[in-house]
Amino acid sequence: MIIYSLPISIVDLAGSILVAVLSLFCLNFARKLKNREPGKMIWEYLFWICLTLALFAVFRSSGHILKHILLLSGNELISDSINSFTGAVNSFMLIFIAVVTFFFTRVFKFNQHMIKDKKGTNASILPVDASLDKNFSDYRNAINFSVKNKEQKKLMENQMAQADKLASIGQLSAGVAHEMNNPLGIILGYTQLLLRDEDSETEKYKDLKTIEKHVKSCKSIVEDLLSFSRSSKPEREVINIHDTIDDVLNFVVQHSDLDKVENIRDYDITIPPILINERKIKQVFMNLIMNAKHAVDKAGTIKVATKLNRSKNRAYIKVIDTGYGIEKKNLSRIFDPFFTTKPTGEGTGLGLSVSYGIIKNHDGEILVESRRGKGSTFTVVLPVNTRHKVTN
Amino acid sequence: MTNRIYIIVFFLTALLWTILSPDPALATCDYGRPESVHTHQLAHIFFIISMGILIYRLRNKKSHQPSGWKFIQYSALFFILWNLDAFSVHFMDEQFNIIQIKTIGLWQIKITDCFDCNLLKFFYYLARMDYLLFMPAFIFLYYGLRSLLKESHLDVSKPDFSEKERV
Repeated sequence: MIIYSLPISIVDLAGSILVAVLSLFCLNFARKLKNREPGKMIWEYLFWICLTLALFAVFRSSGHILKHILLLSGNELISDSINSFTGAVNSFMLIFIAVVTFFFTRVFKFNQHMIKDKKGTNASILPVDASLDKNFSDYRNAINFSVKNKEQKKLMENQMAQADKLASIGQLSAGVAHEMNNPLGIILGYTQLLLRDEDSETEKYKDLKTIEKHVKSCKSIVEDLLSFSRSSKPEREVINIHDTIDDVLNFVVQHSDLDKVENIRDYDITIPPILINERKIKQVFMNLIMNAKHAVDKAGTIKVATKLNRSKNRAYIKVIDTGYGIEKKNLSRIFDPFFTTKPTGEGTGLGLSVSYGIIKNHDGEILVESRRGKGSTFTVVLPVNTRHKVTN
Repeated sequence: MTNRIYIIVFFLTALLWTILSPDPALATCDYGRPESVHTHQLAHIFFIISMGILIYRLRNKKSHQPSGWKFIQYSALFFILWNLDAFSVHFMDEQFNIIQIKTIGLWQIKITDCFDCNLLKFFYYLARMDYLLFMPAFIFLYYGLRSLLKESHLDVSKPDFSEKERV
């Protein structure tokens, strides 16, 4: 059968050019989709399929065009010699496209796990849980490898348990604190009444002073508890958070022995003013900075850094210290009321739990990362509204 | 540290020696041309399966899919058809030599086959124009992606591949 080869040549040449151009257009669209929502698996998947298809199409088309040019110019031998090479590359490309289509989701998820783990709180290498499972029915051994971020899972479980525990403690402490506040007020009132008529040199006066001091201490604890459990929204103003942090830091620097402690401020000035109760937020930063000061002891670094996350409309305020850190077993307990590692009489164990309550009332959250001997990072996350204007 | 340097130096020397004084590798054997054809054919089959899986995954997604995904399904279907076409061409002329072609002059070819069947020759002739299937696959892919890009402005829901649907 003798037949014209012109239609084959025309289809081949025109098709090669069109396919190469179209594949590049497709790649461009896929790239745009990927950039519109970075990190979205489906767009990454499409992008990689399009990339491999474009590579294949361009290479195949180039090969076909070159073959036609060589045949028309009478170089049939050269054309034959490159055929095996283009065939091999085409085979590889076909396999590559198929592999991307099959396994992309797995590779992508694994990669995401790796990235998350690198950024993870414990900065440890991805834990690989390898175990040897013995099937006792037929005594065959099977090795199952499961790769998972055990640390993150554990941390999440701890945080959930913590939220439950704090909610229960909050309700309980609100009731107890309210009932105790009134009798304490009466005791303080009567003590101060008795003190008025007593000579300051007598033994009785000293005893009454001791009672007054301890009742005041009790009242302070009860007020902290009430503050922790209070759910009503306090009065708030739109305030520049950096001014608030500066006030606290300056106060701590002036009133504490921080000669050998380096004090670093790294502010993101794009953070807009935030609607907060300034007095309460100052209390939070005071607690965090004083804790950092205790942690670094006499020498070290305390850094306060802020960052705005525009996509989530959240401001991140980090208090980072290079102190002795928090032991792993204590990490889930540090926000518990009355939990303290300080010696008796030096801390009430209410600072962080009160701070937690305040931040929760601001629809924010407090996160903690710590490594024993390396230091701790407390992150206060607060919601921001870019339309807010400063009121003071 | 010193041991590591010795190992690196040893392997580099071995590599250089292998490159500079080559000898026939007696442990391997030369499969010749048919091996590459079989590999190419297997690659086509692998591609067909992968496109089938892609269609299956997309069809199992939400019922109200944006039209872009439908175009991508059609594209995958045309890729399968193109692969079948290319597979059959390779099968006939390279893998089993059922068809032989001889160029006669500049614009004519002579097609012969071992069964002397004109229908087979005609089928081969049409199958050689594989771009008639390869091009529509890219056209559908182009329209699919363009639709998805437009629809993404409207925040239309997109299918995501869950664990159980992975291969």
